[in-house]
Amino acid sequence: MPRFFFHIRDGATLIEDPDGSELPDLAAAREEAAQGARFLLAEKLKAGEVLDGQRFEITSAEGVVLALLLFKDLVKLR
Amino acid sequence: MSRPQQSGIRNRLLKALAAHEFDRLAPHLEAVSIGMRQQLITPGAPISHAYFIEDGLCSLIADSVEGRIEVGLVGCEGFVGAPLMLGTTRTPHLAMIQAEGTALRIAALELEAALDASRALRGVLGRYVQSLIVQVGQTVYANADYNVEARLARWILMTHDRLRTDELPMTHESMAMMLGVRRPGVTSATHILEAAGMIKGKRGRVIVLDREKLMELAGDTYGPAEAEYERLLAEAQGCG
Repeated sequence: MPRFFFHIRDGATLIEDPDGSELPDLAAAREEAAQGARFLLAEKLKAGEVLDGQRFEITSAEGVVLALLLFKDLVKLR
Repeated sequence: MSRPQQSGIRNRLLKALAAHEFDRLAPHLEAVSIGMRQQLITPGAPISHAYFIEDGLCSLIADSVEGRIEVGLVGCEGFVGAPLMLGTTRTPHLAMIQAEGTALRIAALELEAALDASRALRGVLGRYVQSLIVQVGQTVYANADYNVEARLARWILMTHDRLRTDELPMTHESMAMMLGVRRPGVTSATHILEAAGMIKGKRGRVIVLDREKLMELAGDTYGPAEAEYERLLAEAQGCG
């Protein structure tokens, strides 16, 4: 199975995922990122922090950015 | 099988026994190595041995279809096999090695016989089980009221206490499982702890840099269970 890395881009900072996860395909990686984003958003909400500005950069083992997931896209206001 | 010497032992419960109590147990203690992800106790299955950990780390884990979460942590301060102390041979929880090392194991029947024969042994192991209950209580409190960074700080301190080395062999995957959070939550929390100078994260390892700061972040989730363990162990030794 391919390994995907879920780096978090927060403004100028890149928080690197050091280990990655083995997942069947990019669709599964996107779903994993969505779950992770919801979790991180919830933590920020509880802390009273700004919800915008972070995104996942789903990256291959070779360092190629395969997909982006903006956290704010997961917030359903209606 | 060579008999272990009490003076060379790291396990604090075995060290706490009076010499004659230890000598009675020693013929039944077998030195074994414990490997990563080895299951010392399988959910629902009869427990074959109790393990007094010498080196390494064992997680007590509640398993469900939703996922796994660690409910207890055992190192050289304790033993794996609390159900045997309490009169049963099964538990729905999993006991799995998170950091490899060594242990002294004793067959369940031998431990049962030893407990029947020795009030002092019951005194030490029973008090350890009580300290474990307090630890689990602290975990419940931490999980309910504290954020991922604070819970991670607490867990790093607990692991540091047990492994006694600043370089802790841990992956984000295992930390996420143990805290019951999504792995990006660990990645994010690790980054925050690193930025504050508390730890240094390397591939597959967490290096402890500043215990004081970790304790500040963990707040009162860390401390009470540790203090209670010391009190109970002292109490156990006090009544010979």
